[in-house]
Amino acid sequence: MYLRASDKVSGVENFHSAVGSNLIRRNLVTKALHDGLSPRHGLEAEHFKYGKPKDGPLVVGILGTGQQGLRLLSAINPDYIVVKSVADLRPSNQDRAAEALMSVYKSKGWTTAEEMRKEVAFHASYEELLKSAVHDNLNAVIIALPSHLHAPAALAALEAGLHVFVETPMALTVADAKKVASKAAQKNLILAVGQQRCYNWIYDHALEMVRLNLLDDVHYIRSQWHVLKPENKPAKGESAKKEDKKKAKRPDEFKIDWWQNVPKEEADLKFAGYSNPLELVRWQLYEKYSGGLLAELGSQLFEAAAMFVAATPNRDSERPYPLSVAGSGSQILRDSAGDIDDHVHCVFEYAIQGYVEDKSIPLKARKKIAVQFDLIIGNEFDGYGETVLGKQGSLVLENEQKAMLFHTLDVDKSLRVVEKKDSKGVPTIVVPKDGKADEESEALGRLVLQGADAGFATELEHWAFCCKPPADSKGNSKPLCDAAAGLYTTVLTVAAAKAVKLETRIDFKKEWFDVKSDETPDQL
Amino acid sequence: MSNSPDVSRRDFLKAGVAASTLAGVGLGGFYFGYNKAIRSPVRVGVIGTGDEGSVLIGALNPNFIAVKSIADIRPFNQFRAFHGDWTNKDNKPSLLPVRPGLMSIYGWKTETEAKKRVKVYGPYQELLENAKKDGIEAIIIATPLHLHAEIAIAAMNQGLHVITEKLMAQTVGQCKEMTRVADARRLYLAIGHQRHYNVKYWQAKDWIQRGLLGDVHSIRAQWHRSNLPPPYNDSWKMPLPPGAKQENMPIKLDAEIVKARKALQQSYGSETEGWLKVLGQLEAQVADRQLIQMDKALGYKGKTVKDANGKIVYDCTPLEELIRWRLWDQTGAGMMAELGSHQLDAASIFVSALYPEGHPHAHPLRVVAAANRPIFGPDRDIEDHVCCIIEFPMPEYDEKDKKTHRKKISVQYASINGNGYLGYGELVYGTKGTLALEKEQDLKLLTGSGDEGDGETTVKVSGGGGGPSLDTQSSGPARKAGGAAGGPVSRGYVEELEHWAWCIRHPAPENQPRCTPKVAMADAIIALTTNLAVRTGQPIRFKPEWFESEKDDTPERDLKIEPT
Repeated sequence: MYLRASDKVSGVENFHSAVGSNLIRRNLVTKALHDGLSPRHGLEAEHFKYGKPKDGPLVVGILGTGQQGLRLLSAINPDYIVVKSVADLRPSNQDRAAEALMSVYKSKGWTTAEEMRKEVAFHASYEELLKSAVHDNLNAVIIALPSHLHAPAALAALEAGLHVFVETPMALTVADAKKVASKAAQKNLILAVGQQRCYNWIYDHALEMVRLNLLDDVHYIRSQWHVLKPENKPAKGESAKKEDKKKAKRPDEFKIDWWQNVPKEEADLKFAGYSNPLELVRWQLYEKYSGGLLAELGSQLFEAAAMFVAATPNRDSERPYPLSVAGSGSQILRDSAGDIDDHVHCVFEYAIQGYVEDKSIPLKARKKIAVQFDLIIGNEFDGYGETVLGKQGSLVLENEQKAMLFHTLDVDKSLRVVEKKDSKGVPTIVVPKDGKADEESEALGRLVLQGADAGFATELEHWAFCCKPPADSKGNSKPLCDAAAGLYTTVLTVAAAKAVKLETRIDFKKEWFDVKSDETPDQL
Repeated sequence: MSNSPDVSRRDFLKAGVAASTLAGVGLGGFYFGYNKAIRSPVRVGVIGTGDEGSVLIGALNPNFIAVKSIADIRPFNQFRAFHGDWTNKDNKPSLLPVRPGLMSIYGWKTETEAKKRVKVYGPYQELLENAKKDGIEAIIIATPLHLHAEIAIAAMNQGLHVITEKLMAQTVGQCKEMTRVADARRLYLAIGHQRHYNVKYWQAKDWIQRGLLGDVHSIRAQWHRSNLPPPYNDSWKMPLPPGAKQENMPIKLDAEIVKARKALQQSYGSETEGWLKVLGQLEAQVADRQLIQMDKALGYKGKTVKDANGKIVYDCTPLEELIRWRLWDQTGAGMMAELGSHQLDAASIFVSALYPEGHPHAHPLRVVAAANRPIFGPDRDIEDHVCCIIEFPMPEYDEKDKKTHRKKISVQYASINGNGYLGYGELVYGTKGTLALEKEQDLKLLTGSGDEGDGETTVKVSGGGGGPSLDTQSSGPARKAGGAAGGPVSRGYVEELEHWAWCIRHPAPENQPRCTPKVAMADAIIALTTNLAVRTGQPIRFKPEWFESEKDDTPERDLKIEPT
């Protein structure tokens, strides 16, 4: 029913062993060793086909330096991106950004914050930052504002001729997502959406296994995000505790904390657009600012699951988006702050090969797969990620940091990847009789995964390259998670929210995904 | 319960050890309120002695129940009723411990001796016709699902008490009729959701009630099985006797017989006896071919499956429908009936822990469901996978109150084929910990994220008035909630049968089996309404009247669903 710590250890070993095997990524490993490349040292650039932007780093402004903005800022490679301006309503977020800048741009030799501030402009609002964009020579912006501002800020930035990197969700309505996508196309600007799993080195290898059908036809995916709500939080208005400050210094940490308190020095401030400071500090807990769990967490999981569905060879290539979604939401915790549902569960169904839509075939007999999502506040058991099940194997992704591979029969067995004897070289998973792991493959697999980041650094590098590719470059100048991908996720998120609210199953329409069509699920 | 011992649940394990020394009554007897052996065993007929019926036979306590007759139309099942299940797995009868057979339970040395005590019938009607003559007072039903209601009602109309395997019936309408007949005739009708008699579930409930998990806010259950099409095994697609059908199956009975004959020739000593049993069982299985031309009155019609163009893609014969009844809509009700109902039953036990003691069972509010068939072909009606979300109200839930109308606790459930990843069990999520109950056996309390470094937790019960405390051990052994002496815990079959027999011998309104028609009907409503949600493709809101046996409202009627 759950993975023991020892199962997890063998699952990770199995994953390494598959990565290093002849049939999965041995070539990549060999090349990496030969060229002296490793994760975060040129290997991703080689693999995703990009290099440094033309004529020096991309000049950007960062809109919003809360938890996610800081995470992105800390992941910046100074060879690719130079930050010239920062905007945040909260003085404390500006301070954290300043601190992070000092550390990211060590090479600049700034000794004091004052020195840094001579080169980086700080603004109290994103609108102000955009107004100074020309003055600051910005090429582009990174948007990590509360979600309700993603679309307006992206539109304004595109209008100002700036390339955009916008955190997920790209918009809270499908109509807005389409506006953003059309504007980027119309202005011929690069728009990337921050779904870092597209660039997560571990996901990339897991997806390759699914592509090569190592699991043998994915037939079920379960995805969860279990968030622990810190217990016994001080009441509203109390000043931040020491631990909170400590926590804020570690933006690389994945732990979610949406229950931060308003620091004393911000308690009396007025923030435009928010009725009180707590609403801004805890904006994730309000439907109107965040879109709730479905937009805040779901959108990321929906994208990740969709990548696995798209990778499996038994997919229905005629229907790359889900057939339908149904779900349920509730507010159950005693002291839920804000107004969002603290539990949301939903099930998407995707068609696979052989799917026939005909009344004579009962729904339960159709060739479909279910993708089940559980978003829960109040318990962090087993963290977050996907369980991808095929007829031969299971892949388990945990907290964006760990992947595990298991044979369908058992979770505590070592396994080997070998070539299928009967056919076209499709890899097979076998559990060796002697129980011995494939040590060579395992060592090679471990080597090629060691030191990888969750995808933030890589996604920003690639985006910077796409914005300013050298003329003769043979690289890939299209972000892996572009406006179309952002729209796709927004459609899923909005439809799931409608299914929960209206207590009905929502059937997806092709037009919702078409940027040129005005049809959306927004008004259902 | 009048015979409930006067001890708090807190001390039940300790007291239970002492009580279990009472003659003929185990820990279950102590805990579930029948702490005295009965004056004479209840005389019963067993209808249906297949896989499940044989498990129930294996759980019989001769002090409580005397089997006087059995009925099964399959020679294979008649053999197993007496001799137990001798299915040969790697030269071992590995199923024998769970299906030991009547001869082993009652100590009869030969089949002849056994058959002097136990009458053998084919169709169930014959057993019921001879009930008086055979002196039976009650029946155990373990037939395919579509016959539960028909047999139970016929038996009760003859004044016989009934315990039937789950699911209670194939439709909610049938469940209501069964309940009404039982009430009108003042008979005991019990339903075999064995978790109601599994100490682990009551211990889990106890932990929840004591607040060991903090505030419970979500429940998840799964049953993952690795069934696959040939050449792999599919546990619900049992082999047909030779001559019934041309098909490619991993188990070939003809070949098994040749193997067994050879092993018999080469065997010596006590082995010979074993191989004789194996061979006898295989021959009985082959003898099922006498049912190839089956009388329609036995309840099996078969089915032709057509594709979207009207072309016949599969032909299921009546015998195939009988042997593989779980796969077909006429005879079964799919994964929710066979697997999901048990676990939703468990979930409702956990949900009931959130309510004050004695509060009536909370009925679910709504079901969201999806089912599909990504793996298997048209050799069945049922789905490969079903997943659903069942919403239950929290105690403070009020549909009309803006503040509390979203106070719902959801149960996420999935049952799949094609991958046995992490087996089956239930997880209960609280704000302070997570409770895991695996395979009806292993109960654990887990803290933290479940990752390395986080501990499974020992539950220490402090004495006196002090509250319980959690003691986290990062690497120490987990506390396994144990049976009396830490041995394997009964899944509940023994106790459910004992208690039912005890109630029959001590008839009184307050003496009721734990899984009454009301409880079992609620489980059936959840499973069958989930199937309707799958069938209509729409979430369904449960109507309170569905749960009241005296009202005629049923989901089938209200949703205007034609029976299959």
